[in-house]
Amino acid sequence: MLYYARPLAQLLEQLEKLPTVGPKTAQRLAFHILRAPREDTEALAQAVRDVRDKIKPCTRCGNFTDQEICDICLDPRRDTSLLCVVGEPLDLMQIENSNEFRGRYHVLGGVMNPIEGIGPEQLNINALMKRLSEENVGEVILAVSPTVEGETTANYLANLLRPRGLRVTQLARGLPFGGDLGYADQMTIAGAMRGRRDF
Amino acid sequence: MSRFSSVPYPARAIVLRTRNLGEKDRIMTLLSAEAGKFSAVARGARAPKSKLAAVSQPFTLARFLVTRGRSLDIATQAEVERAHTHIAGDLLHTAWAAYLCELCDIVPERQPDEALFELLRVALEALDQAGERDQADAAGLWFEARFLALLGYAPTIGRCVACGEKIVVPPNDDSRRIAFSPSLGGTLCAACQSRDPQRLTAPAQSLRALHSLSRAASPEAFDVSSLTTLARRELRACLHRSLVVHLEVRLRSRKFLDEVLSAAPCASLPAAAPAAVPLAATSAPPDAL
Repeated sequence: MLYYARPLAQLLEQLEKLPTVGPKTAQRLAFHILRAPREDTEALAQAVRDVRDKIKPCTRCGNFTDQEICDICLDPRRDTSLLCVVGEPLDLMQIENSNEFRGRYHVLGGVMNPIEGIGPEQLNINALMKRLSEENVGEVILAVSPTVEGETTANYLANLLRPRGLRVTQLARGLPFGGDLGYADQMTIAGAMRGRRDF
Repeated sequence: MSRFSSVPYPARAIVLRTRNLGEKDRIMTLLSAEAGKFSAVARGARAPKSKLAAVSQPFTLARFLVTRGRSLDIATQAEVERAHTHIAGDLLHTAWAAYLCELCDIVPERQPDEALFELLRVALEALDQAGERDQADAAGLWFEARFLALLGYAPTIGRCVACGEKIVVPPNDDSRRIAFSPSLGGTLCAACQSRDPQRLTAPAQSLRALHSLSRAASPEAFDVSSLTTLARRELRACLHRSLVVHLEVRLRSRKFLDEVLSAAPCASLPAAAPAAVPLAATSAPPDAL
């Protein structure tokens, strides 16, 4: 058993709980923290404390925010007729960083996964339906990952949304930018062919 | 060959389920005819440009090249044979497929079972081709009945499973209710009913269907649309209770399947429809009702 002073051992134990951090990486991070200037480590500790204390889900869309309602929901320049439904806040940030979408979002908090026992009742779907009743939304964009779980979620939502007379759309499926057609799998090529558009 | 040999081995397998591993990897639970059920890592499969992204999706039948690992094997190459993309396009088909894959996931690891692999392959293919609810139900019910039979729990229909006495029901009497014991594994005569306090009662039509399904070579060989709504529901109950009793597991995907089934419109005949076509009693084997 390796010997570490108790505070260092505790830090290693906590770091190893982080995703993709194994014992070696934890060791490197811990010794970096140990040698870093005091103000840097204080700032890191404060940032971790703040993120736990101040960040909470937006009461309207479910995105992470430090206010009651997030900046995107409050932004008057946003197109209120467009609502983009995503699985996780990380997906929202990815779409937002693309600078292509100027509508608003709704975060489900995951996707349906029948085998893992994750059904619609565990997702933020009731809040979505409530929003659609209260807000003047014309189009719902289902922006979930192109996986079986994502497709299941999209189908479930589409069945709920279509009777409301809304336009329900889904992100295009096809070849990734910079990809080589010769190495694409048959499912991607089939999706790209089905989703082809006028040039 | 040593367990940890570095020589890759080929595996024609169906992806039963996947779990995320680390930042970009996936662990796949695979079912193959030659190696049975086993797990393999698809490295980088969650990256959009990964060649393993599409192949590491549940319900996919693919040819993998797998390298033995210390704890988990690693899928280094893969080629999709059947993507079953239409399953994911329909909620009911997805619910059935998830349930069938979870049923296959209960078998022990590394025990080759060609019949089980073939059963799942045919059922997923039927679900992928299924256009309407009846065809999807036929695929799911056929799999359940055949799965029970494969495990050695094919129910005895037409004779009392306790005393062996023949249970006679006129061919045109589809609605007569017969006692069925999931734990004893078959129908019970009036005198033996009390042997199982947990017994079900089901119409003769459901039990005839159960008998036919257990022996049907494919889902297409059985016409689910000939069953009344009630008979179909009771058939589902008999099959489900039998699986729960014998396998001693509660499957998470079953709840989702039941919700989807109750929400989806059923195209079969209503319970009291006089035009219900009975399963021909004469064509059934001697033990059938």
